[in-house]
Amino acid sequence: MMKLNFLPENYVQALSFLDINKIFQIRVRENYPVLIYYLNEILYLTNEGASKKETNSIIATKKDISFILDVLTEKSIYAFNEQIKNGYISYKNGIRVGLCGECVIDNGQVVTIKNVSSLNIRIPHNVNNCSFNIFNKLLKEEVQNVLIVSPVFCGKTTILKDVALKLNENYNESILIIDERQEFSTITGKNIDKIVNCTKEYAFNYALRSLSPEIIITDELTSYNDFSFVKSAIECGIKVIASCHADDMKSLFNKEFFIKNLFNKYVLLDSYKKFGIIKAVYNKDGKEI
Amino acid sequence: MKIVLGILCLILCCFAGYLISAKYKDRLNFYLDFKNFNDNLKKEISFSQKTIKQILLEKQQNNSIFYTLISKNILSNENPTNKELYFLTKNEIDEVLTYITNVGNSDKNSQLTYLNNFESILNEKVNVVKEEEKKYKNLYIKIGFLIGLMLLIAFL
Repeated sequence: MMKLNFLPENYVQALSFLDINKIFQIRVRENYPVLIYYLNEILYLTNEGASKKETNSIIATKKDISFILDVLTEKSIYAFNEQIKNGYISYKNGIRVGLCGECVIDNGQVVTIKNVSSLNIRIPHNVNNCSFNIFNKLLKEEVQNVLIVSPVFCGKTTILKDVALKLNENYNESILIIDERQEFSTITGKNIDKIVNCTKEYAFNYALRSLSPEIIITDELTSYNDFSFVKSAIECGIKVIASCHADDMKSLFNKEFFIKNLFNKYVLLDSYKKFGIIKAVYNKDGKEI
Repeated sequence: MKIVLGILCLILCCFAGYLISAKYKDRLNFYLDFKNFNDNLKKEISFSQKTIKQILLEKQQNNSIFYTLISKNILSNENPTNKELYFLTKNEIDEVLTYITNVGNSDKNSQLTYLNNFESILNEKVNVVKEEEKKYKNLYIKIGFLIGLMLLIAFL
């Protein structure tokens, strides 16, 4: 059972009326009602649980946000500042809290975020077997380079987590998970290695030199550099399974940083809030198969 | 009977002197632990970047007043009371509270600067408190003994 004990007591009390396995996000905005993304609905958090109506909703205060930040960072900002300046804090069990506030700039670089005014608490769920179709269609016979593509909030990470577990069970090959934001913290296995909390650049270089992985799993390719790292890994004979944000194949292929002919297959997930449903599978030329 | 009462007074006066001097011992221990915590934190921030909570849990020191107070603040958000810090002056209490509030509350570089500044303050403080303890510990026991001796003579 996942614990959300980093939240203020009245929030925890209200959440105790709800099924935590159905909560995907909690949005805390200073002076506004706390919102819960509960399955496919957006509800207001109230003292009695959650409601579709705003009346009696719990209003988030500055004190609530400070409390949450104090607990998340264990009053040790210095230990989390690298994450904070990238806009998030990772917590136990893969929970990730996005931060919104004033960026402090020094020499053109964001050095930290102060006066945090809103939080987006993302609660991950391991959905057993959610990669069943992808695994059976694309990875069961042999491991291929696969890119999972979808807009935000469609379950790319959840699928990657399940793929990692299936590969661990079905192949005796060394799997490296590059986990920049501690989202794979619950995923372990006899063939699984993880590099946590570092950039893709560091992880790919380090992996190629010293870890000899046969498969690399990584989330969110967002730049030309990310695709270049994947390219060098694939050129070294490593299979890569990754994800990328895009609405459809056209927008993926039109991205400036996209490198063609890297992946053998592209899996497009169905749109918003339908977790892990495959819309279509494409070959390396972008033709639906 | 008078001799017994006189000796009892002597022992009680020495004990009272010892109790009064204990305040200086507590002050010394407090500042030694404070300095020790500051040094540890500096080291951990430079290398492992452990959180203060992790450091406190690893280095649990149940007999230390300083560690107990900072643990209470970090783990349960409770500030120390003046009663708990009876052996410190008001300015010293304010200084400790400021430290507890600011520690951990900024990025690595700012924290290291803050802890380095505090290190020199604490080094100076520990030296002063050591001197005080040496001076007053013996003084109060001696005063206690002298008063006890006077009472013993008076009884006789």
